[in-house]
Amino acid sequence: MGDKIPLGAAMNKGLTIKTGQTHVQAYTKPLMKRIEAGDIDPSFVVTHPASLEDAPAMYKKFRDKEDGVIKVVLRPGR
Amino acid sequence: MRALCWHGKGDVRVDTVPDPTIQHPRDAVIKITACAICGSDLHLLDGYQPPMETGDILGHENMGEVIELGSEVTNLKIGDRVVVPFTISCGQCWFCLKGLYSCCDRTNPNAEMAAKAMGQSPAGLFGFSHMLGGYSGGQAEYLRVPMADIGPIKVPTSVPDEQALFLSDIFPTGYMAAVNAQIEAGDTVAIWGCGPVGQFAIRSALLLGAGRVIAIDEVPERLAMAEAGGAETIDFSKTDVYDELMKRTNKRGPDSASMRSAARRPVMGRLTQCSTRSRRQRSWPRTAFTSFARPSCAAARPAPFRSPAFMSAWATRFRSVRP
Repeated sequence: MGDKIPLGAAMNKGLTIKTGQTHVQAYTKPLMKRIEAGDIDPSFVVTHPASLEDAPAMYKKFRDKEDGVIKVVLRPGR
Repeated sequence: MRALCWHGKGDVRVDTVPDPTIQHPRDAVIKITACAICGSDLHLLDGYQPPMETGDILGHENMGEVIELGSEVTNLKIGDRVVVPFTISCGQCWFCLKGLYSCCDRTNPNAEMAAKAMGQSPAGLFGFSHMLGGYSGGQAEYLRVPMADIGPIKVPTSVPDEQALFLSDIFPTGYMAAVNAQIEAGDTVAIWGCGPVGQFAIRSALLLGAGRVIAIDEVPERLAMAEAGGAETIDFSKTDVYDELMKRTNKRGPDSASMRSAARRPVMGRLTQCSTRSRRQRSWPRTAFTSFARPSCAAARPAPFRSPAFMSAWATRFRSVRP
């Protein structure tokens, strides 16, 4: 561990290191309010709307960063 | 129903499979109206997150319309539009009551397997291997949502699917990165990785009062999206990141730094040289860890780093996931 995380250097800079899987349930309601208030429009990130049937091809495009893919959204209900 | 199923490394297919049903009074079943492919789904595609079984349904960024409810779900009704967190959390355990939902210790039936491989088990997750519960994901026409009285929230009619969907994962994930970075008004924040989560970390840092965000990547369209979101950028394929950060911050370095899972090169040494106050790291460069390694505790401050339990947990995981 010590050879991968330079704790000595971190200590000498007085760093705080935080980690964590997202506590999603703690953020959904307040962030929904920010969306409703118009502070942010999260749809900016969508580059590739697609159908569910297209998903296998989109996985590979996304993995290989082809065609400018940043975010794929599938619409199975349509 | 139709669903995106895993069949092996590099092999996902859309198959016809049985529709999900209510299995517990706290379940709901939703008709998926929108779902997304996450960068971490690529770990599954590429075989980095075992164990997977043929036919497992992927997808943990989900929203849809409630079509069926268990008897104990009283906060939702049939027909509600909901967005569903990717973490399945009970809302009742010690962790959930502290707001540490992703550490819920009641929703991963295979917690022992996860603890053996990663030191500690997180909550169960949708569509993310049997180590994390073996729950079916939502890249499908329908999804069973366990703990439906805690996770899903209703989407107001004024908010379209494309705006609400990312509350399932990448918006809160980028936002929590910015929260963890302890940003003070006017701070300069460096963000490594401009994938989808990085994009939300950039915008969240600005929402939380950052004065400047310096975003680091090498993919032109991702750097362009970062700039559109208000960040300055550094292309690490063309520029020495450490030198450039020091140049742009009057040799002091950024106030805080955040590393997204998009980063695949070792940067920790440079990070400690750059950052002066705080930093958040969500997962590790793939050069060091072949698995989607998850830190075992929500907020690791210096004291936990020194505890024998923490060191032991880290050592265990390090051995198990190292190439």
